[in-house]
Amino acid sequence: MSEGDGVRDGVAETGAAAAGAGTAGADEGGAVESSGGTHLVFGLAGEHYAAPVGDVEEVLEWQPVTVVPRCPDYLLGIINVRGSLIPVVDLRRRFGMEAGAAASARHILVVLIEYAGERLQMGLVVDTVEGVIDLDEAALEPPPAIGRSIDGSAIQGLARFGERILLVVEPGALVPKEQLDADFDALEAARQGDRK
Amino acid sequence: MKVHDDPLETFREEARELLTELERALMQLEEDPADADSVDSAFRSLHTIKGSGNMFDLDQLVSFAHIVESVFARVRDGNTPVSAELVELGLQARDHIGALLATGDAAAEGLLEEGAELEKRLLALGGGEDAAGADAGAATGGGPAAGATEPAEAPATTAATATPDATPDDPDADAEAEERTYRVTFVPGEDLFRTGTNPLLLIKELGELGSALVMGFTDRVPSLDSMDPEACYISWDIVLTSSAGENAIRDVFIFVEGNSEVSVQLIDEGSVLDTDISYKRLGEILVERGDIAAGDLEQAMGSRDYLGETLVERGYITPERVESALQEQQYVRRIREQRQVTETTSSIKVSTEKLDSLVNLVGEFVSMHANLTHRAETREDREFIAMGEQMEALVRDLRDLSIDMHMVPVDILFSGFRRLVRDLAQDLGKEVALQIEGSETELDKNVIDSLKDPLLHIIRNSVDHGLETPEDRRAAGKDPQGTVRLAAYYAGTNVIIEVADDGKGIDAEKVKAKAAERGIIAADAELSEEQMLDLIFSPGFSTAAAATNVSGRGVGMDVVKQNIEKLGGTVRVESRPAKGTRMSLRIPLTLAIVEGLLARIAGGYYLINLAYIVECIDMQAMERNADQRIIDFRGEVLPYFDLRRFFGFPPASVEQSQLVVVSNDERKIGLLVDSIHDNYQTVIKSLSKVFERVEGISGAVTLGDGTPALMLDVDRLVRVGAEEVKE
Repeated sequence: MSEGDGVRDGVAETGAAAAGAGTAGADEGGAVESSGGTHLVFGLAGEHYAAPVGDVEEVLEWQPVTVVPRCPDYLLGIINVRGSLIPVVDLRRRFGMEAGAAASARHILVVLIEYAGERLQMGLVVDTVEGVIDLDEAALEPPPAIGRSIDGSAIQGLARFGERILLVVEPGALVPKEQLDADFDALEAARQGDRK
Repeated sequence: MKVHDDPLETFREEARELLTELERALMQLEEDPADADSVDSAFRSLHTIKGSGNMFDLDQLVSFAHIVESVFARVRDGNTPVSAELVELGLQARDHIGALLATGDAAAEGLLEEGAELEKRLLALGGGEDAAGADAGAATGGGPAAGATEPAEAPATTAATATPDATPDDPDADAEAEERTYRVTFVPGEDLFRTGTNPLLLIKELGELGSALVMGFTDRVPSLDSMDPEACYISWDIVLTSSAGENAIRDVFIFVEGNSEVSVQLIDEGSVLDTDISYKRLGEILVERGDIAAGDLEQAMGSRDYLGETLVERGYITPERVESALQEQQYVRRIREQRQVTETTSSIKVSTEKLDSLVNLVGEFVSMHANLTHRAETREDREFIAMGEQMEALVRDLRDLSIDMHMVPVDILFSGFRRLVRDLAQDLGKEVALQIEGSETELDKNVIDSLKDPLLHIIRNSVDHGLETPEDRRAAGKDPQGTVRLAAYYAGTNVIIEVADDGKGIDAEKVKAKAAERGIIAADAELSEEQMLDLIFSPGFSTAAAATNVSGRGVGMDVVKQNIEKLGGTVRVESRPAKGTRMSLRIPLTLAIVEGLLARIAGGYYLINLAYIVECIDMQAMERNADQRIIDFRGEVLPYFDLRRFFGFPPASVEQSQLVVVSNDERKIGLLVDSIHDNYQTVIKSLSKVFERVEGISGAVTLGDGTPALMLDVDRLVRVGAEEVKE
């Protein structure tokens, strides 16, 4: 079945698995054979994040998203990944960062999230995908109490990699149901207000 | 027998189906005690359960089923009448078998005691000693005891037949039902015409018993000079396949027996187990018929030529006789082959899981094909396009077939409610007749499964709250027996299922008062009667003043409504005081594939289910009232609803928009979209759960080039739209 999708633009041809994306950031120090600590490094609004590769199913190049209306602004819509329609969340908007980065550089990480007791696939739009590195999880530092751009609940800790400071995140926790519900509620309230 | 779980599970599944069949037959008998087909059906179900149970050493189940079976055997033979008690016991027995089936042979003490009690009552019903005797006979295999109680039949059959295996055998039950093939030889006496008998009428009568192959012989006709014009020289061989039994065949010839030779031989048992389709050799047939002597046959067998030709050449036999025997041979082979075919085709079972994945695969295939066609067209590759077109026919057939395989008649759902209504009526002391209509209507298997609970709830409500007690009904001048009508019929690509009762109806004002009391609406809300009735679907609403054990178990109509909406369907309620209530469920035929119209809104593609679409209108040509958002649609005031606005996209020029007029049975409304494209047939996928709070979208589809498009939730939009316009 999946072969047929090769004819579709922008998905299958470029839909390299997480490990393949490592070539994009070979200068970062190179990929290490998978172990518990292998992480995918991605960039978002000038900061660097690392997510365990086990949590990332696939890295896709940016592709147009079919808009689903009446959603919080960060819930962009859906994309077709080999027949599965996957919701896409713009992480910049999710964390209230300014829109930026040319679309062409952006990537969509397909991750598995826990949503109301079910495992769902979700696409996360990030600015750049920088590579795969090996992190010693024991060396994680606690996240700083202030000054971070994204919700603390998803951050497991800080890691130093060469010159860089990486925020280690748990992708599944980036879009919790409670948050989405609250945002839908807010939208609803705003619409009610408009009508009155 | 400790084998793998599977065969036993298969048995259980089959047994459960048979129990459903049994229940259906019993319910039918309750309505029409004279229905012989239902007696047969009940008997067959029990017989099969017993037989298969034996293979798994389920002793408790087998011995119990046997007792029930013998009761029905007696009913079938006319020795025990169909009574209310029989039906009641039959139903209890059915439940008991169900319980035994669930527990296996490790049945609990209580269950076994219950069984013993039921057994006693069943035996009493069977008619005392006589019944016990027949049971004993059947239990030991049927042979001698059964034969002894029916002495009338036995000698007649054995004496009359030449074939040894034609004795009345023990699957006594099936003798009538199964089709067997007989060779009937009819050699009328020469003086037949003088008694005024027309042999052709006899043969015609015989033919009416089943399907017959008739062969006439003229080899006895003498040469013209010695022929008596008033004598009958012709004889016939008839190969007859019939379920009527040998006696019925002999009865045809009863008035000519005296002066004619009639023989009836069983040549094919009609047994399913008889897998040998080859039948006898020509020589065997001829000898069996007495056309040639066994010795002559042996001699002729030595020749290298075809046996028939050799026999004719040597003058042992006329060509006519050989031809007749060959015909018989072919005929029997053919019916045996057919039986093999029908047995195989009707017995293939496929798990729903496999069917589901087939439907999914076909769905993917349909999308893929659309994708391919789209590619071919953009490349303007003629050959490629032609191939795509050829393929389209195949794809369509495949899709129709796979959908068809997934469709089952609603009967499997409806017939289960007979029992429910019956038991409910008994518990509540009401008299209820359940009328079922359109049970042959087919729906997607998955839809049927999901309809069970909602319908159960609605029917319970009808019997419990809708229908009055017989006394109240009499007082109101109604038939003391209430009626619940369960009907299904097609309406376009939907199926409508109605549950209607002729009870007291729903008091709309009371509903409103209750809703106000529960804080569902404001006490001073002004509602139309329709809106008041609709309140019963609100969460937290229950009309039952006191919850009985029948309804009011916390599951309300809101859950019913939700479940139906999940299927893409709608529920409507209509009620007239003192006349009754009708609930109509509108359900799409299949969940899998939908035909829709593709529209664009703000750059995105949206699919609108064709089933809802009335018409499309170009807004440029329309008179409209910009403030009130209504247009004049053929003299009708039609509200329209700007989807750009509803979905929060920037507004566009209304003049350059298209209006899709949709209707959901209740209301008609126009949906304003940017432009309209082709019709599109596709598989619907549900949207990810993160979108569950999005209003107005019910699913998504994949277009030919792989782009996802959204499915509009027309029913929802019509309602929201109508409300907005009102404001």
